[in-house]
Amino acid sequence: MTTTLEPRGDNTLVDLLDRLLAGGVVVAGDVTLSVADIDLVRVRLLALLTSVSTVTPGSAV
Amino acid sequence: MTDARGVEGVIGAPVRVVPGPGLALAVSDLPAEEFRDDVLSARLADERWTAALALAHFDAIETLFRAGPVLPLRLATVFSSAERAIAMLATHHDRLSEALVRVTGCAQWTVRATASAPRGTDAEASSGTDYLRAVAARRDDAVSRQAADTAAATELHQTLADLSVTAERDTTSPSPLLSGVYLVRTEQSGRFQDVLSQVREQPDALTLDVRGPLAPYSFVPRLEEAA
Repeated sequence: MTTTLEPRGDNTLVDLLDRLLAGGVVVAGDVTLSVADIDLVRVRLLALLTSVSTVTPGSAV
Repeated sequence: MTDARGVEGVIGAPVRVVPGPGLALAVSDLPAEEFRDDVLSARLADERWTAALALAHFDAIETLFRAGPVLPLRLATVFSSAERAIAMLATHHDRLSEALVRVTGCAQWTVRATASAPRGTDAEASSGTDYLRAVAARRDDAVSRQAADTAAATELHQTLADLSVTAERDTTSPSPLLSGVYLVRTEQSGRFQDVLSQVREQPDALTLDVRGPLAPYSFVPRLEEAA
């Protein structure tokens, strides 16, 4: 059972990233990222995805 | 899950399992001063640091998921002590246990379908009439193809949903044609993938992007939302 992210030049990675970031159990920790924080993380990761031409293949996500 | 040896967590910290009441938490011990609210917020502005954090989080979840059922927590959920983390488990014990049972033996698959229509290159038109005719033909073709693709996407979602324990289709945006997430029992995953293969083999097939099997990120209870 392997899960690999194959880099592509389209929005598929973005879709997956949104699913993963929006998902997960939200509990009140001593620090918990808010929806706004998650949006910030998303923007940062998108910036990174668009600024590098390749994403390491095989990174399990 | 009682053993997380060899699983790497965020910023290279090992993952260990903290047993709680009927449930266990997989945690990494991190330097408190680096994961304070204000410090973390500042760090998130560094996209490389954030990417490494997110990848480590997802990698650890997927590694644990391959060994047994897990409920992923949101990225960067920080507790100041193991006791506080266990207290959280105790508080939400019933709903978490129920959710864990629901996803046991299942994996999440995400499916994204886009139109396959090849973008027609502008053929050389020998006259203005030819050009206009070609434009009209392409437009008619595009309209009928779009209707067929939309119907195919809906049919595909229904077929996949029938093979799933739970399915959700994101209908907030018309593009892509299908953005769906499916909770699929392991014994159904072969049939689930067969359906996708069959779609790919059809002429004028939708273009599919399939991710899975993944931990059930989208099928977890919403317990508390930070402000």
